[in-house]
Amino acid sequence: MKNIKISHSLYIAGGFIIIFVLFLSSHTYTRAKNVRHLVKTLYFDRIEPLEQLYRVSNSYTAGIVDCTKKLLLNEIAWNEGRNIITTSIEEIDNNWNIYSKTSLTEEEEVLMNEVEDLKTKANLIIEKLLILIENKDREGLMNMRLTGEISSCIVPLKEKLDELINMQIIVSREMYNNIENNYIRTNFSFFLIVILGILFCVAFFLIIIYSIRQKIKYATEAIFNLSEGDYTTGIEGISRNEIGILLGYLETMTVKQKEVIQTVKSVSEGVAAAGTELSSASQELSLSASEQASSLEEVSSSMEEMASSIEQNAGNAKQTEEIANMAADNIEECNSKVSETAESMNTIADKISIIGDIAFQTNILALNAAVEAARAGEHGKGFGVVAAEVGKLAERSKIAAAEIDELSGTGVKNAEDSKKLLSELVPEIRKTASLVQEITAASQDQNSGSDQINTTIQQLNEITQQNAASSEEMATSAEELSSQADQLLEAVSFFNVGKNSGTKQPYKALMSKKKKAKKENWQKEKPKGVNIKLNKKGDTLDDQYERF
Amino acid sequence: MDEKQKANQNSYLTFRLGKELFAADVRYVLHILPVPEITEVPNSTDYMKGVINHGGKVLPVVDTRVKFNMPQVEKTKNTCIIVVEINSNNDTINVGAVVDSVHDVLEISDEQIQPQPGIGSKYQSEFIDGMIKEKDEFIILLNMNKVFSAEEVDTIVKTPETGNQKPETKNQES
Amino acid sequence: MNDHFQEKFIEEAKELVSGLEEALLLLEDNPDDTKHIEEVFRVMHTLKGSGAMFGMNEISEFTHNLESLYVFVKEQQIPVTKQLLDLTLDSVDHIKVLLSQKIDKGTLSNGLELSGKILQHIKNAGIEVLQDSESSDILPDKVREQDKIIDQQKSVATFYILFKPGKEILRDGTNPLYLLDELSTMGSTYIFRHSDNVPTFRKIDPALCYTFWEILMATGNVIDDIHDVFLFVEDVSTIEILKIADCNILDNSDFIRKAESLFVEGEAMSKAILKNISEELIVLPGKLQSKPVDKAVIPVSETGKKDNHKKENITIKQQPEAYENRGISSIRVSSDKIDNLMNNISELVIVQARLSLLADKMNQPDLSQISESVEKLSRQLRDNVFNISLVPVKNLVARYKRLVRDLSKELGKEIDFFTEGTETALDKNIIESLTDPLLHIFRNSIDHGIEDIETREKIGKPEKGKITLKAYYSGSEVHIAVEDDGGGIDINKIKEKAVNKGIIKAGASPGEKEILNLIFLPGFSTASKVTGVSGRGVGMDVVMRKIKDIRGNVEIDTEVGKGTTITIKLPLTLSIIDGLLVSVADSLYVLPISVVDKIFPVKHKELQDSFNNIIVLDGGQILFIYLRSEFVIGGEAPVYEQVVVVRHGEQKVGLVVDAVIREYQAVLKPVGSHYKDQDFFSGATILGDGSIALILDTNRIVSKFTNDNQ
Repeated sequence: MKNIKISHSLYIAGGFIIIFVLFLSSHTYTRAKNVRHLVKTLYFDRIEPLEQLYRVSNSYTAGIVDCTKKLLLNEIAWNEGRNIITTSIEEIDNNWNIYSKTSLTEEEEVLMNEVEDLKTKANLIIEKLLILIENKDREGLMNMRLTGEISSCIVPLKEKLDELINMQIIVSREMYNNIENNYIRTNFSFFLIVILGILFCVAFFLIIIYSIRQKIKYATEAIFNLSEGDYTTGIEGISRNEIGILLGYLETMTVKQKEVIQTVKSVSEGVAAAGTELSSASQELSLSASEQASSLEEVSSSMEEMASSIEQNAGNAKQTEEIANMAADNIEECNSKVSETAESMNTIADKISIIGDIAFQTNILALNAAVEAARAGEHGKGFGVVAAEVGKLAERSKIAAAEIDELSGTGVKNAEDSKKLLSELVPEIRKTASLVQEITAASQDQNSGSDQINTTIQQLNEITQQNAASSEEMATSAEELSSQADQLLEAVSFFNVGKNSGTKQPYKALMSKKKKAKKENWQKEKPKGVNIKLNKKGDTLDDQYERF
Repeated sequence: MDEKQKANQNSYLTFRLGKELFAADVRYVLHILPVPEITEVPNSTDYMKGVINHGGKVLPVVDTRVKFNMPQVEKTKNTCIIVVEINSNNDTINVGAVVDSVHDVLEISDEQIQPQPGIGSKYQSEFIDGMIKEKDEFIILLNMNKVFSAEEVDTIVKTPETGNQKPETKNQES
Repeated sequence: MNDHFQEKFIEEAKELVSGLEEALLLLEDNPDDTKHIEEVFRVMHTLKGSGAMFGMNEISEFTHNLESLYVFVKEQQIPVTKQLLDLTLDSVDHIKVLLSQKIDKGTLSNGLELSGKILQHIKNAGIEVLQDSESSDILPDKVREQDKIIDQQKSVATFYILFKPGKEILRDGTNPLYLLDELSTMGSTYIFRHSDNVPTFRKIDPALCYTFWEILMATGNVIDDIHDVFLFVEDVSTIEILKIADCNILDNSDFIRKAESLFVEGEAMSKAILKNISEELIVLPGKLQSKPVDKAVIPVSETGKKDNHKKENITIKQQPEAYENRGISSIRVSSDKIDNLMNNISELVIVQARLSLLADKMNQPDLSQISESVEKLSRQLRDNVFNISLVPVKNLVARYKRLVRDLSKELGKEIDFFTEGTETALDKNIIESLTDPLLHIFRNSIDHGIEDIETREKIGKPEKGKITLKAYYSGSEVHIAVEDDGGGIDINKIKEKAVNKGIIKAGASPGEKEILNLIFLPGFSTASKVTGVSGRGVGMDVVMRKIKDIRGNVEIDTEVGKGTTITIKLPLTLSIIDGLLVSVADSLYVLPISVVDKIFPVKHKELQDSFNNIIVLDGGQILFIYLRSEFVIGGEAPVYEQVVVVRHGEQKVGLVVDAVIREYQAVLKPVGSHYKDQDFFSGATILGDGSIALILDTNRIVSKFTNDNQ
């Protein structure tokens, strides 16, 4: 029950009432419908057949028996008699048919079958009767009457029919009793249901109201606590209904607020501590500013010396560069010469190989010639000698060619080696030259750099003095900051958030102690700005330096 | 050496094969050529190197190294072909002989020619006409008709176990 | 007269004799044709003249008699009869013997006998002959008269010509001696040479001409014709031409003597005096004497300038051009010289190929142009020289005509001999090798082929048999067919004989061709009787062997009762074959194109996968030979290879090569006896770039392969 939302319990109550009403009305409706059905049966199955049965019975007695009698008495003509009889028969049949179609009880059906049998018998008689009438046979008719042929069949029929009529009435009575009973039962159940429903509704609503009241009461207590600034009591027993949710959010809010308050508390403590540190730091700052100013002057004089040496350096570098470039050019020229030499050597080698070929061919020619000469015998002798000489010459030129070839080969190789070495050398020298060039450029850069440094140092001095002034101002501001942080702490201490509450007091005391100490210091050592002019060697200000 | 009616001096062309120096009677020598492109003739005896175009004629060329059972070597600048004219089967035929280098034409008198020592000689005696000693070196005088004959010669070298291996003929067919 | 000139004369005389023979045979067919008589006469005249000139007196004298006889024939005092012709032909044979210079007693007596016969013939014709029975000088007057007639048929005049060539004339490539030769062909000449100016041997510059000539010439030509001779040298030479007489004054020895007396070395004669002398002599014409024979005088008889053989009367089936342009339109060159020329050209072609390569490499338009021109020229030159070495079949004809005539006479048959396409040319070596085989074939045809007259009459053939020699080109081959209308060869008879001899089995039924080819077996003759001419069974096998030797083939076609044709199929030349240049790896080979049937590109893989070296090409199964492995050449085969299908007899075999490059006319060169044992090559050829390609002998390759694989 606790967890069901209020709206839900209200929905349930309303739904319950609706169901109750619906049940009630449907109960009443079925009862009424039942009664109607009974009444309808009573009328159609009992009262109307009553009439029909009566007409049948009447037709037999009045129509046929009477008519026969009247015929015998000549009260009516034959024709008329016949008409009456046929009409009676028709009526009997009509009514009987209608009746037989109504709903019948078992007893009724037994009776009806009996009537049916009698009716057939009666019909035979009636047909006979009709024939007699047709023949206008008075005697026959008479005879029939006398023999009781007619009455013997019609009387039991009539009895049976009366029996049926009676039965109708009995059944109707039974039905009425039935309806009466029904009505009494209906009344009883109706009143019972109404009373039960009312009782139930009352109980249900009482429960709902109670639970809502309980919750609201709890919430109110919690919110009251919060308004008192007490954040220590947590909100418990959170149920899931609307009130529960409300309390839930409220709890989240208190947690968050608790955190914020704690943060504010610790920050303001921090601020207070920082303010103290700040004021001591700004004091140190003003002290170091003075030291800086004196160092700056020394720097300035060293820079001057450096500038002059840089200039000298740059000059030397430039000279070196020129020399290196010249060397590189020379080597390059030398290199191309070596290449040419190598090429010439190669050409020589080529040509020499041709000479070698020629020598080879000459040798072969000489051999051929020698062979020819030898073949020619005595006549060829002189020629053979020449051929041999030529062969020797060829051999010698071949050897010479081979030597030259070898020499030129070595030459080419040497040339190529030196070419290779020189080629390697040139980029090195070039590299040196470019490095030296870079040095020159760097020196120049340095020169202008040192000038810039000087001016920068000047600027630096000014800035240092400004810094000293600023640091004093800063100290004041720091003190103010500390006091404001204290105020803040005081304000925040209204909230009881449970934790940190123990440190509150000692911290505050510490702060106030420090504050006092610092105030004394600041009073004592108030720094004075120093005006440094580095370019003019400020000997006049040396005294001031000494003071620090 | 069927006609020795001429004085007792004869000219010989010396040439080298490997380390050995050989001499050929110049009467058989027609010409000395640098080695041209040689067209191989498939399925011929292995000492037949092929044919060359010699002045518009097709000249068969003998690989003399193979004939003398020496290992084959790469052609050098000094490699030459000696065109010889020999008698084979009563027919004068021309044939080229590949040699490592051609040296000289020497005048040699018959007295200088020594017979081939029967024992300790490398070559079958029928191919050698004699030996000549010239400047501390023995020159082997060849019987050109025999050495370059068109008839199939089994082996010139005496030791047959290192003899010519027949060329692998046809390992054809699957 | 040294041997050299005599040799020249004999060569020329042989040609003349064969011309004479030919003319006589033509005359036999057309006895009334004066044109032929004149030709015969002309040849005899020339023969006589030149024979005398070169000291061949026997010939000169013998021919003289014959010529006398024909003087009468020409004058139609003696009719052209068979007897006359037989006599003449016998005489021609005698002349041949005389020319062979193997003269013995028999020859001489034979000559006397013939001379006697000739005289007898003249006598029989009822012509009075001087009773000078010596063989030497019969009817000199008559003949001389005839000479005169010939000489004076045209208005002969005598000219004086001074020909002083410029010193530099030799440098232009002109040979002044040729000009003199040319003059000599125009008529009788009497030449004075002035060689005085020729310096001593030490100082002589062989490139200069130091000589000049004075010529006295009797000719029927007009002065312009003489000028024409010098047409090309007129500018650089001194030419003077002067008519000194209107008749042939050169016959007058007085004139010559006087002219010689006028001749002074180094100086031109006085024309005026010459003219005077001539005029003086002409006044006394009766003093003509015999021709002067002098060392310095070279009389040249007129040979071909008389165009009296016009074509109007050509009625016969013979080739009338036989002696039509008989003028000096050809020169005789020894075949060695042509062989040398061929070799030179082969080398030229090779050098030219190198030039082309170089030109391509240098890429200089001028050089390329020159190289192209050289290429064109060398190709033309090569073709021309190939043509020079070809000889028309005509040269064979006369011999066989004679053979047919003589043999048919001997056998009592009458045979007409016809020729067709005798201008078809063949390599002279082939022509020479053909003589004997053709002789056999002709003998066979005459002896066995043509029936005797009675038999022919009986079976309703014309009395005269017919033998035709046909020559024609067929592709790269020349076919020479000998056709007769004789009885043909009875195949059954051959078969019977073959069975008898055990060459074929009794039950076997070889094809017709195969049976016919049995004739070529040694010792196989079907002739039932052995005659002196043939039937000994040595004929046809010799024929076949000889023809095979020159890479030819022989085929026989025959029909019993109708005749036989024997066809000799020959390559155009022995030294050139039409080939297909193919490559296997880096090597090039030439296949004779005549055996190539078709070429198919086939994937290497297909060949590898094939079973038993058989692939299906063009729907047929073909055995292939993989040359790469056959020649033991290594290396990777290309993806696509070429299968060159060649005919091997009836069989077709594929040779697998890497690539077919192109057709190639290959000059066949022997590879030498060092390669006599190898099986694959019939020779080698030198390609344009100087490298060598081997020529495949497909027949041997295929047979060897099939034998090896059996």
